[in-house]
Amino acid sequence: MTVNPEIAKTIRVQLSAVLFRLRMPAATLAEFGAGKRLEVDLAPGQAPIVRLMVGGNLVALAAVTERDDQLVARVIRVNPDPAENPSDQWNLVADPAE
Amino acid sequence: MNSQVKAMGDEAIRRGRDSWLPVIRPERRSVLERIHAQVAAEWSRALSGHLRQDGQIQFDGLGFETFGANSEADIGNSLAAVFVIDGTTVGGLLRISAELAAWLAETQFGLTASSGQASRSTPFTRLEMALLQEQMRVLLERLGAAYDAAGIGHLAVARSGQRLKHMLRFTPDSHLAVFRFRIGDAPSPYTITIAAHPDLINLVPEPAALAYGDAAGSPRIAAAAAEVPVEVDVVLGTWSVPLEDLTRLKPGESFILPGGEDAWLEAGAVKLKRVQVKLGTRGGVIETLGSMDHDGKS
Repeated sequence: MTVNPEIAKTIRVQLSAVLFRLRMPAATLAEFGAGKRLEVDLAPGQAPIVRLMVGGNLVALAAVTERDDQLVARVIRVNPDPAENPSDQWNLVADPAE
Repeated sequence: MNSQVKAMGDEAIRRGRDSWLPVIRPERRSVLERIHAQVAAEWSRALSGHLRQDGQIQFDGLGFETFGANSEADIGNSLAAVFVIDGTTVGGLLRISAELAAWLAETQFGLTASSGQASRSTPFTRLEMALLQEQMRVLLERLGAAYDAAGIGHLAVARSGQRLKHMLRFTPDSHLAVFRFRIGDAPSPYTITIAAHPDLINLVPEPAALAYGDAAGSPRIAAAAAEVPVEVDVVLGTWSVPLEDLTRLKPGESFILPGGEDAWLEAGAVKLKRVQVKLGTRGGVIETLGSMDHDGKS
């Protein structure tokens, strides 16, 4: 199905960049108050990947690099399998409950 | 008293006794069954050198029997150990059937017990008893580890050997919680039984999320709610784009992301906390700046 070009020019959507997803007990989330830090580690040789989401739907994956003190995302896949979860590349190294 | 009246009286006594049968909630039964199924698996591993490939120890279920009816404890060469749960009045026994004890004794010496017919009428020798006691110690150790892990308590062994029934302070009418295990197809003579005071059931920690009788807002429900897992997204930022740009998105395109100063935590499309994200080549740090209201404002 294609979108009417006129409508596509007019309508704007909110695109979100989700760095990763964490699964934690509700109590831990509640205790994650101001000033608390959460450290995450990447597997060696991997670039961070963000999920580009529209209305809760995954539309693309993008690799993140740092250039001139700015975070730059380069799209690596469009319409990926929703089951694909780049969050798995992150390791939690400091738990907020600690 | 004629025999009919006596029979009616016995029936009334039986009914009266039945009304005091121990009660177990389905949730606790389920927990106990799971614990003892794990015990069966642990015992199978511990006795793997003595079991045939197709003969694992299986948990047969939990039931209630009177101490009087549970009279196998002192039969023949059966072997038993009396235990207590430290700091409680709960006691019980672990029993290996005479047939299984004979099987274990024979296989200890490298003999192959005849399939399904390992029984003997002669008493065990001292050496056999010593080896069987070691097997019993291993079974009790695994059982104790399982009870410890499940929060039931620490299992202490009072004594092990033969003819130990007198050590238990139960009357013939006392009800026991009986956990039965077997090796091979039912009915099998190769059995292990745990018979304990029914208060053992009450030592099982209440499954918090399923406990009965709590009004909303009770500490128990609050504790259960606190453990509910929540999936939290770390969102670097969001921006408005024409749908046309989105439809033209293709691999290789680059764009500048929000710097991470205005990131947030989000669960189920609800913004929860404002955070700052600092990304490096090896990882990142997320620091909470404050809570957000329903509109996403700090």
